[in-house]
Amino acid sequence: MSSSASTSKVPEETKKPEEQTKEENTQPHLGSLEEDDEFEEFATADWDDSQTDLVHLNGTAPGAAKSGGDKLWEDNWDDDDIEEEFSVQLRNELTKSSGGSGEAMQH
Amino acid sequence: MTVDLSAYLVQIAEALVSENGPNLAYLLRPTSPHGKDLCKEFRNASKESIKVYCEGMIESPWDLIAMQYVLVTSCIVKKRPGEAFKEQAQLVTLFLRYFTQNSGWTLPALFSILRDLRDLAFDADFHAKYNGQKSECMEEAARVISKAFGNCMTDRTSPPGESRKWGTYYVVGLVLKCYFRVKLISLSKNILRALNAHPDLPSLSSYPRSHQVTYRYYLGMLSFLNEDYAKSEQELTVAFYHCHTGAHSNQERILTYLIPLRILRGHLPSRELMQRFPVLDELFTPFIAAIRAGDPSAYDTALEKWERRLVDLNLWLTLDNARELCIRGVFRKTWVVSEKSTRIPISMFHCSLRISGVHISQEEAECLVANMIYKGYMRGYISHEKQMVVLASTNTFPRLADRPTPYALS
Repeated sequence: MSSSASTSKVPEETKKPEEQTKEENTQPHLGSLEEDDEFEEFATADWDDSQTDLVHLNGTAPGAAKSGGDKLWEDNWDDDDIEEEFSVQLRNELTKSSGGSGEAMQH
Repeated sequence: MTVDLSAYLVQIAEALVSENGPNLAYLLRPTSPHGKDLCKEFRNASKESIKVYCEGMIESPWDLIAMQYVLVTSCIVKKRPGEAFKEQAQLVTLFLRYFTQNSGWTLPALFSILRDLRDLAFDADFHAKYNGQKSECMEEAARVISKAFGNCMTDRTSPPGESRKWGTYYVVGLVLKCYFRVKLISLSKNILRALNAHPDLPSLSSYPRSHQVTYRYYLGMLSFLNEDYAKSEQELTVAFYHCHTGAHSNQERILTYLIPLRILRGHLPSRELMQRFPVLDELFTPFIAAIRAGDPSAYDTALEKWERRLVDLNLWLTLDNARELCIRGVFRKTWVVSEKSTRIPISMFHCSLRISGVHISQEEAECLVANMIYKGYMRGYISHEKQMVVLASTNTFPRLADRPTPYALS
């Protein structure tokens, strides 16, 4: 009966193939994230920590980040390595606009 | 071996005597093998004639429940989902009469018939819509399931271990699933209000994980749609971490909303996480890469590319807000290139924005700096007269994870 049908998709509106091509290119298909999908019934009612992502935590609170022991998230990604291109361009622009006085470098 | 009606009734009676919930669930499932047998037995029989065979043959209301069962399976076989739904709704109503007189041992059967009710409502509405007819079976399903919810929650007689209260969160999950399907999200509030009015329920964490995760998912989604992002992030985080890792598409659903919320908080998903969810990797990685690089124009390209999908998922606004993280990146780079000076002219920020593909006037750049300071992305103040940004000498760009109000909208 219906348990299989309830995850079935509404048929896409029929479009001529040539109209479709551009759409498809600009809007990548998201598979299971299509709007019609639902949160699915679980196959089992209960399970223990070892079958969840809690095992990644080693006892820390869920949802911290790497620095807090949860390697699924990262909360520290600032670095001081600026791409050469950006810094060169920025310096050049500054030299141009401020007549080379290097105003920004004053302390 | 074929099962005729009298054998079926005996099996029900046995399940009742032995209080075997899973078996009772099996007996009431339209897809079970005996369903076909009973269908054949009563192929062209009217409701009245089936009733004659059932009535009084087993304790009430099970005679009528058995009759409804035959009717439901017949309608399904005849591909009449609308009628099948109506008969199943009556089956549930009859079942609830028995349910409220007994302890929670019947919960497996309750869950099963409610699930079938919802599935039939889905089919009925789908079928009607396909034929251009109006159909509100899902709304009706929500009403029937809400009744069952009340009958679970208000159990005052069963011993705690066998209380019908243990069905509460599963049934709430089903009601919310109905409301989400027909986009009557606002009706969910009534259910949650009723739930909060019963503080005598066992704590959520003592329920089976499948109940906890489903409930928290919907609660997280409701909070998200009500723009209570802090609460949403909290519920979805717990849902994700308690979800069975084998339930991949459910984890993916949770992360679809959790990842943007965590990005706003300055927690970026690691490669390890993204590799497990290729669909989310494809969607979110361009945004994450742009944030890491402080590259607003790459970010805008991603926003444009995914616009329709993000709008469909109600995520566009969230990701549009997270663009600020790129701007912070540009400003931080400017500060690093300026050798972390505490005094940086606005023109310098203006210029770095232009290099990064953000073409705005100096006044707008000044405004953007002011905004970033106000929102806690950077510490300092603006001397408007001197067109100079004076920056704090310590903790100039606080870690994003440390911002006190990451979800405050401008």
